[in-house]
Amino acid sequence: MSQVVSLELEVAQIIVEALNLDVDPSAIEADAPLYGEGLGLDSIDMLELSLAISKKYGFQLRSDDKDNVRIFSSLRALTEAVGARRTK
Amino acid sequence: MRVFVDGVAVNGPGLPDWEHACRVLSGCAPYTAAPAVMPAAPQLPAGERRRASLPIKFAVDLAAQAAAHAQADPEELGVVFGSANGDLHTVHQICEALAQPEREVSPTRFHNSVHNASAGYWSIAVKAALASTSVAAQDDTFAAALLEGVMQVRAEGLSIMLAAYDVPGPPPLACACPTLAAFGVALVLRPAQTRMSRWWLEASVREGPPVATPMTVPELEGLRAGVAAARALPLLSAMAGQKPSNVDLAYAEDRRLHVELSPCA
Repeated sequence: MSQVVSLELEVAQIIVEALNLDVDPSAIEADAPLYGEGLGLDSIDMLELSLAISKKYGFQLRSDDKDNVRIFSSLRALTEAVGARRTK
Repeated sequence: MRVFVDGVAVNGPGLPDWEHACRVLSGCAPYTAAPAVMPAAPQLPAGERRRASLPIKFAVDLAAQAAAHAQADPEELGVVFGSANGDLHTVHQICEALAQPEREVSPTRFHNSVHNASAGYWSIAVKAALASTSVAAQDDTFAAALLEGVMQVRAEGLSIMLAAYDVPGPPPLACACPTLAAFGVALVLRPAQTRMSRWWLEASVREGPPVATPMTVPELEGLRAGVAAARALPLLSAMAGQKPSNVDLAYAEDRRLHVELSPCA
């Protein structure tokens, strides 16, 4: 459990740093939507985030991935995808 | 081609705003060098502001100040922005990314790297739907942007937000595109006199050697010669002087932009 939480915080930190957000990573709610409402992110943010995630965890999040809507729906979903696909 | 100047903004070393610049350029206050203050650009929506690079914020802030000075609704202004080198920091970061084995370029940096990024961010900030033009002409960028702005005012009957800005880049690009300091200027140009019109100017392209009007204060002449956008300084000095004046701006190898300027009655 603690490993999941720490990975979630790590992913939250990547979101904040990659997108220059003025938010405390620990304040990002795990189930709040990343896109649109909530953090107010848009499509360029998602591309930027994909790049940061792939650099850090060694797997590609491609724009034509059929699971993108689910993966980028929330911090929890993104963390689960990272946990399942990471190569480093 | 006569146009009216309703508002002006400036930001550069020792010239933090038009009010102060006006006193310095008219000889009422001494010039004291100090780094240009980089604005936070609160005019940008939060999502755009966190993505905007320094030159973008610099340009947007200048345009906002000029619009306020002119009491103009920025939404109703066409846009002409000029920058000799655009955003060299962003270009540098993209070059660095391309030099890595993965060659992964940041989408945000790519988005910011185009020469009309600043004009785009400004249009988003003020919801301007009119056309924008982004000009680059090396050292003659201000003259080219001014000519473009004046022509759009005369040909289209539009009011124009004209901004010219340059920000130094990092090495090695800075060596190829030297810029002494961050400097920017913005003018609101109108096709007809309004209650806010402060000056009128007439611009004409003249054949002959590209001789420019110099600045008399050595530090300001150094700034004029060292930053493409600061080629505007003789025009700003004429505006600050509040009397009819003639200014020449170098424009291409074999011509110059002659500007006749006078305070409005």
